[in-house]
Amino acid sequence: MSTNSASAAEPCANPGEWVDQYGDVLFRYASSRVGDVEHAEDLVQETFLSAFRHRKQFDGRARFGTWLVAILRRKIADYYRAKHKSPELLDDDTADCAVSFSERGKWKVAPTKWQSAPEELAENVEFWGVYQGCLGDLPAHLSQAFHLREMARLAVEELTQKLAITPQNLAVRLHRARILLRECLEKKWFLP
Amino acid sequence: MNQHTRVSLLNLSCREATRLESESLDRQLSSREKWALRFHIWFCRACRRFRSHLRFMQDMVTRMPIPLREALVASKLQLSSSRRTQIKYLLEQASAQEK
Repeated sequence: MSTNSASAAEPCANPGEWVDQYGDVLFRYASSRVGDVEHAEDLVQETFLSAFRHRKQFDGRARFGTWLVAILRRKIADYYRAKHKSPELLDDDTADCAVSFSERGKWKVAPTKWQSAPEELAENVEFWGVYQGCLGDLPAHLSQAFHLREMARLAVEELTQKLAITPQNLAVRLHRARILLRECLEKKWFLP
Repeated sequence: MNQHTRVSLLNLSCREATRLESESLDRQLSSREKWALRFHIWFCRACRRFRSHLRFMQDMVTRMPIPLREALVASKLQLSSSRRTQIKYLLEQASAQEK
C-alpha cells in the first residue's frame, strides 16, 4: 500500500496497477462515508472506471491519487443525492442514539448485570462467534471506526486522518458503535 | 480529540453520560466533564453498569484470538481481493475495447 510521491504524479500506463496503488485508500475513504462495505466497493469501482474513461482530462497539476479522490467524492455525493439523504445525517449523535435512549436522554432498556469472568469467556469459542456476529450487525462505518480504534489501536489523530473525518464525527461513531455492540452482546449472550 | 463539550454539571442525561464515558476512552475529559460524569454515575445504576460493560468489552478485545483480530482489522482497511480482481478485469475490458 505505497503511495509514494515519485510515481504518484504520473498515472501509471497500466490501469490495473492503479487498483493496487490506490484501491485501499479509496476504499477507506468511501467506507468511512457510506454505510456499508458493498456500496463502498461499488463506488470505488465506479471511480476507477470513470477515471479510466476520463484519463485524458488528468492534467498532472494535482497528484493522481488526489484526482481519484475528487472523482470518488462526486460519486459519493451522487449516491446520497439518489438516496435523498445527506451524509451529515449519519453522524448526528442524538438521532443516532434514538434507538437506545428516550427523547429526554433516558435509557429505554437499562443495562443488566453481566456475570462472567473475562478469562473464562476468552476461552469460549461460542462467545467469539456471537461477538463476531454482533460486530457484523453494526453499520459498516461504525464497525470500521470501532475496529481501527479498539483492535488496531490506532491513535485518534491517525484514525481521523485515515478516514478523513473530524474528531467529532469519530467520537459519535465510537459512541454509537460501543452502545450497539453492548446491546447486542447483552441480548445474544448475557441474557439468554 | 480536543473538543470539550459544555456539559451540565448536575443535569447530565444518560445519553450524555454514555457519550462522555465513551469519549473518556479516546481523549482526556475536562475537569468539568469529569465532575459531571462522576456526579451522574453516583446516582445512576444503569450508567454504572454501562461503564463496567465498556471496560469489560475493552478487556475482551485484548483477549481476542489473534487470527480473528487480524482478519477483522484487514477487512476494514483493504479493498477485498475479489473486488480488486473484478475492478482489474473491468479495466482490462475497457482498455481492450478502445483498441
